[in-house]
Amino acid sequence: MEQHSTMRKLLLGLFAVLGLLPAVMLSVAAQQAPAQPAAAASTANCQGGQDLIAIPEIKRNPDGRLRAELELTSGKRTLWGSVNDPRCVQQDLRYFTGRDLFKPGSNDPAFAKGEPIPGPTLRARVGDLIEIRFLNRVDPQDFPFTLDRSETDPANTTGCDEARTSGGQLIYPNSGTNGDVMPNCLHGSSTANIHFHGTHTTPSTTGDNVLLFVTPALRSGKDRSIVRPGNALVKSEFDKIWAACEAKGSPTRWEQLPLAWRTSQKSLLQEYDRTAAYKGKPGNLPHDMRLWPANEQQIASGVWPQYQLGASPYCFRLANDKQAGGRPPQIMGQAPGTHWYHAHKHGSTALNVANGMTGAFVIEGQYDDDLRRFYGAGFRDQVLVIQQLSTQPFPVLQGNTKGPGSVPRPQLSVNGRLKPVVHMRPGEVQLWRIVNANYRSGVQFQSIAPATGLAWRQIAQDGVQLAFENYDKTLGTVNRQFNLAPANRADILVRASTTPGTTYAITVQPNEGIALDPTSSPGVRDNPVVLMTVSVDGPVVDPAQDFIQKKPDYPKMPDFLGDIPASSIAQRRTLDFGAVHNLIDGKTFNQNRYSQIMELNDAEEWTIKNEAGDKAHPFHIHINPFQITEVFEPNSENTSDPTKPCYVDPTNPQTWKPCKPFTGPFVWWDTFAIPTSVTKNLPATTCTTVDKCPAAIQEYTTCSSGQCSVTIAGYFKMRTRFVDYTGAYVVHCHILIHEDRGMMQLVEVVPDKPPYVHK
Amino acid sequence: MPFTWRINITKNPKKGKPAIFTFEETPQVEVGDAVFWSNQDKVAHWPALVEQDDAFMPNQIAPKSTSPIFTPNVTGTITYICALHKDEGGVIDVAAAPPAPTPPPAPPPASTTGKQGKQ
Repeated sequence: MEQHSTMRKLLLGLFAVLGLLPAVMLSVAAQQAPAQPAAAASTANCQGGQDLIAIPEIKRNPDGRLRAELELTSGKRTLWGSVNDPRCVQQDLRYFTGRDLFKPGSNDPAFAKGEPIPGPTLRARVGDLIEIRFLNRVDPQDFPFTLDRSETDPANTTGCDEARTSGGQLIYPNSGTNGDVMPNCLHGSSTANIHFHGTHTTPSTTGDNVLLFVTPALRSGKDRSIVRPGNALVKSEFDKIWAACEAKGSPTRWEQLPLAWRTSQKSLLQEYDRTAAYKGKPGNLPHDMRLWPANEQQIASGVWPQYQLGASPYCFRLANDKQAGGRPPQIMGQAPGTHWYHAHKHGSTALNVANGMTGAFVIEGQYDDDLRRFYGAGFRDQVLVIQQLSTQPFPVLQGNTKGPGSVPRPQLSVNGRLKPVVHMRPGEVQLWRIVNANYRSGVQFQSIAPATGLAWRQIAQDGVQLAFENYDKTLGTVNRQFNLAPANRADILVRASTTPGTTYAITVQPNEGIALDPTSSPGVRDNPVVLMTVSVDGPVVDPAQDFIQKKPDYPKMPDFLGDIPASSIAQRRTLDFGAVHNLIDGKTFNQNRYSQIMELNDAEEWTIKNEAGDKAHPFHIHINPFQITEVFEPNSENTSDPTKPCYVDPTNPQTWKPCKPFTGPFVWWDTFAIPTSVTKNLPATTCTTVDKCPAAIQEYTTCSSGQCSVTIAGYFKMRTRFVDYTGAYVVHCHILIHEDRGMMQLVEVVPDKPPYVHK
Repeated sequence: MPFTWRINITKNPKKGKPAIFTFEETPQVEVGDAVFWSNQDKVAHWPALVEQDDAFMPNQIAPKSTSPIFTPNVTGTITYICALHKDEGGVIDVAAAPPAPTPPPAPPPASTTGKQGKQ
């Protein structure tokens, strides 16, 4: 590098001596003048106030299969700036398009309009078989230094995506105590996979497997338009894979896939290994960075190979607690409700989701049947995917991202538009399926203006309906504020006024600090914004519809969603999320270790703590939802007043718990923002050094210059059942850049019955 | 939100003439944005700053590949040249970032139904 630098300086000096710089400047001016955009920038979708886009849907076949192509592609889409930024610019983004493979034709034209809409909504039913042809057709040349391990960057020394100032100073990856180190840094963002968030299915092989790395298809030809593997091969081989999956279930070993597909993958990966550039030279990839040798070793070990090139088949069945098709009932079943899918490759999850690699996944069941029975055949649902679109996972690389004066974050959009308009008929009740697909911010639904005439009631959380008691008395009360941490979903029934012609504004507040109590934790809160508006127009619904009021009219709660009793708990664990962005139990993600190992069919109770005072890390575990049984929010106002019964005494850990235990029925979640911690100063009369403080609080106390303070972690307790599926998956923070930077653990569910007998 | 700006480096259709450096989109670069070069030429190029000694590109950009991103941290005009080929280069005008938002008001009071009872 020093040699290059010296050469560059010599060249610069030579140009200067020869008097070439003025000529360069003239040349520059001549070249810059005609700098025309490749396509005229459309500003239409930066204005707000347009109608909500209905995301194209791919629906299940009546025979119980959903068969879709999801193509990860790249191209220009129009993006807006953050608050105060008037720019409206076409940007290179990576995103999902798709089509129904049971129908002829190509992708819905809505994907080609340049608006940053989410991927197609998948609409299946409990017990269905999901067959996805996942294609990675990103052209990595559109994205700087991001294929796998920055191997095309001659100067890269970290393996991470590097960024510098215009002065040459490296600003990412950051150095120091919490500096990012491979693999816990941003890298490889043209490689992807799909996480089917909220599904209860196999985490292995062709299921909800986030340990896959699907790299971009190889490109060749003058305009790079020839891609391999080609469409014909993928179609013929995946059809065979799905036929076998339909007959026998998801494959368990790589050898079960057709030989032609395995041979093709081997050949393509070997070609990649031979030709990929490293340190600026094609064909120079070191052996330990090659993909096929890693696959070969995994296959020899009986493990599903990690690297797939250009395409990967998904085939998995959504769980069913009822016997169907000759298959025995499963213990948990799949909760019918609003789920979603998104890219989940470690190191690029935040950037990929910020680009828009998300979509809704509606799984129907008796919940939907019962709602339609009550409201009639014309009952409409609206899929609303909230996104925080950006080309970068940091608001501004060098900017202050917290507190007053911080740089603004990307604006919130819904289905690819700012402040869209939802139409409702006077007297109508709709079901809104809201997905917080933000890569970063929580969204607190605050208010409706004008305050009367339009109302909502929450009926489901994270794709699981509320028990009637909670709908009736707690979470589901009329116009109750609710917060969606990143990845949370809420189904709300929305009741329009009976008089046409009124427009209502729905105001939300982006944040990173709210667990349950909207008054808790100052955290990071952006200004409240209008997320969307509702226009009440069209023919009147007569008689006017209303919220469900009586339990007999309410959707029947599936039996498997009853409360998990304390008496059934076989194991208890505590996970401690750190004060910064990359630590669980004091460690960054270790790809070589299962941090938690659970036994199949065990019910467990986990206490999830948060040491951070400024952000409510959203805890997420794949495959199995959980029930919250206890929430402690030490930042709630009612914990600071010594005269109140919920007072938290910083010198007495016995008081560091909620004063109002939940009694059930408990609510199911799959992502929950862990309440923030609070740090309280101790008076000098209590202690001035740690060893003088009460013994019970010493491990939570720090002292400096005679001032001691105690950090009281927020926490929640949850119960879950590790049933139906063994395999490896992850728990992580759903502020996705925290996950990419190491706030994740690998976990494994192992069989509860050893395969051996003793006679 | 920072935008990302791509400067394409393409072969000049006129034989023997300098390669062409053009922004993919009409540039509106602000402090904090990301900028990179995409070398679509068949030969390497090497953008380097004119005004300062420590040019921001640490090395050449190989054919058919991209440079690392850089984020301008000051306003003004950045002039760059190709250190390998005379008469090649361009300018990047960097404007100020939008003002930071005003601090948000205190959070509104909780819903009249109070805390979530059982949940």
